[in-house]
Formats: sequence, C-alpha cells, structure tokens
Amino acid sequence: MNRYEIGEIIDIACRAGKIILENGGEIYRVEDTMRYICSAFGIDECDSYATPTMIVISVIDTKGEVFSRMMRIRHRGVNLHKVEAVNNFSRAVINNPITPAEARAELAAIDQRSAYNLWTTALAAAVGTSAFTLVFGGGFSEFIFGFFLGGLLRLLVTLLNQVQLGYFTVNAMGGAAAALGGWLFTYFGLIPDWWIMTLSALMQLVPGLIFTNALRDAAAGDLVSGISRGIEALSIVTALASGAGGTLLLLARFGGG
Amino acid sequence: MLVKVISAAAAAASFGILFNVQGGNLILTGINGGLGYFVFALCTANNVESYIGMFFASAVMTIFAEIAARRRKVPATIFLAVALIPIVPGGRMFSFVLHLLEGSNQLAVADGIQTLLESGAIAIGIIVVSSFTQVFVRLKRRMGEIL
Repeated sequence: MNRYEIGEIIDIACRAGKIILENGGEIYRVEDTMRYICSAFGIDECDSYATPTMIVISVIDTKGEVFSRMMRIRHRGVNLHKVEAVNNFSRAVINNPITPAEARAELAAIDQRSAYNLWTTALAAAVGTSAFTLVFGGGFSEFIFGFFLGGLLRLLVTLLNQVQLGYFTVNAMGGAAAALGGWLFTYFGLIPDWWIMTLSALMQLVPGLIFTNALRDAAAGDLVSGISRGIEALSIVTALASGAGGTLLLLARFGGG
Repeated sequence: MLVKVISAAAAAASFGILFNVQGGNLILTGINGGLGYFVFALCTANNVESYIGMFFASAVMTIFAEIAARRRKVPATIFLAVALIPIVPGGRMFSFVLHLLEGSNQLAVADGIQTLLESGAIAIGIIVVSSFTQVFVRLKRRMGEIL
C-alpha cells in the first residue's frame, strides 16, 4: 500500500466520521466507524479520536510509517437519516469490499441526501408544539394557537440559519420571538398565560437532549466531549433565555403587560 | 394521563421529522416517546420523585430502542434521541436561566439542581441498559458457540 492509497483510505474514514458527527451521532460511533473502515480497507493499526468539534485519525503502515489527518467540525445539527446511512455504509464495506473511489462517491451521495422540505418541517414543528401544550397541561386555546406559534418559529429559525447568523444569535432571536408570540396571544386575551405556550414553542430549540448527551458522554469516559456538549447546551439555553427575558422585560416596561 | 401520553407520542413523532427520521422508524420513535412518558407519568402518579421516574422511563425507552434497532438493523439512537425529548428537562433548563436573569436566585438554584438530577438520571438509565445489552449480546454469542 503506497502513501497515496493510505491517504485516500484515511480520507474516506474521516468523511464518514464527519457525517456522523455533524448529524448527531454518538462519539463512540464516530471513532468505531473510522476504525472499522480502515480495517475494512486493510489498515490494521489505527487509532481515532473525536470530540464534538474535531476528529483525528492516525495510522501506521506495515513499514512503520505514520500517517494522520485532522478534520475540524464546524456544523452540528441532527439528521438521523444520515447517521443511519453511514452506519449501513460501514457495515456494507466490511462485508463486501469496494474500491476507495466507489466508497468516496457513496459517502458524497449520502451527504447530499435531502431532508424533509421547509413546509413539512414547519408543519411538524407546529404539530409538535400543539402536542407539547397538552403535555405541559395547557388547555384547548393553547393547543390551537400553539400550532401557529410553533410553525412560525420554525420558519423564522430556518430563515435565520440560512443567512448564517451564528447559533447564539439565532437562538436569542428564537427565544425573543417565542416570548413575544406568547405575550401577544395573552395580551389579546386568546390564552390565559404566556408560559406554557412559549415553553412549548421553544421545545424545538431547548438543549435538553444535548445536556443529557453531555452527561452520557462524561459517564462513558469521553470527558472532553462531555464538557464541550455541556458548554454548548449552557450557551444555547443562555441565548434562548436572554432573548426571551429581554423581550419580556421590554414588554413589561413599555407594553403595559 | 392518556391525553398526555398520546400527546407525548405525537410530539416525539413530529420532532422526528425535524431531525429527519424517515419511514417506519418515525412511527417507532413516536411509540417509544409515548411509552417513556407513560412510565414517567406512572411513577409521578405514585408519588415517586421526578428524577427517579425519568430513570425508569429512559431505561425502558433504551430497552425498546435496542430491540427495535436489532430488528431493523439501524443505530439505536434513531429511536432513542428524539423519543427522549418529551422527558428531558429542556424546559426546566430554560426556566433556570430565565430565573437567573430575573434575579430570583432561589428559584433558579432549585431549577438548576433539578435539571442536573433529571438529566443525570436519564443518562444513567441509558448507560446502565446499554452496557447490560452489550454484555447480554456477548454472552448470547458465546453461548451460541458452545452449544
């Protein structure tokens, strides 16, 4: 195996790991997948390391020469279909070998796969918000108006993400919009209280899952990932609460609420 | 309670769309979300502390997810991540920071501690079940070799 071939295999492993990490897969899944792919292509001595913001891989060839590669992860979202697809890909590569070029094309195709379109996700967010108003003990009016607030919030957040405002600002504005919506519905007497409505709409943004995963990582021994996910969750919730809190403060002062 | 369980299932399934879970997996995710909330509500109705209820809920959901994952040959996270959303204390985390900003420190501390306990309990539920699953799978394989 020459340098070029090893470089290609490392590249495939990194790309597979990157897709899993960027789309909400677990840390150990990223590391394991990278090692499996290397061994499927005939590299036996391989070590990989992943945190939510980067992945590193290092291999030794039969002559004792060391090769490594680092990839920075800038985008973190959740797209579980891609995680599933890469998982199937690595399973397939282990069982019946393919050429590196084919593997790379397949990974590129997985990364290009489209998610649900904007209107479907907005509808899903709307239905989800309505469902959450009932989970939190809301009444019929909250169920109805939560539908609109949740859908509109999703549209706003998608738009802000598209112009790449950065996750902190997007979440702060999302929090502000949810608080404003809840306050307006209450002000016009459509719902008894803003809290359940605003909270239900914000369920699509709050990092409860990220925080739970942070503790899970830490307990599983991935300490660095635990810390970074924990900080991620804290900064998201700070953004949401400062947006919502600031809006409510302004409304209380000038809106007569 | 039935209304809440069904709403939790509907919430999990519709958030599955936001996280791009596709096809039949979406239905299983919804069922798992409802199942977890049912266990949690059952514990709460019997005056069990909320975080202990969440431990049992996440353990049951992880068992469901591991079984579904083996049936359908996909990672267990697909069924677990989204289904956890109705019980993870995201809202409490939000009210923790909101109370801090309002200056109601006592309420904030209570919320913060509750958030830590609850998400810790959920994480422990997942970890305990998935480690036992791995041991169980290994044992089963070894038994298969011996027999």
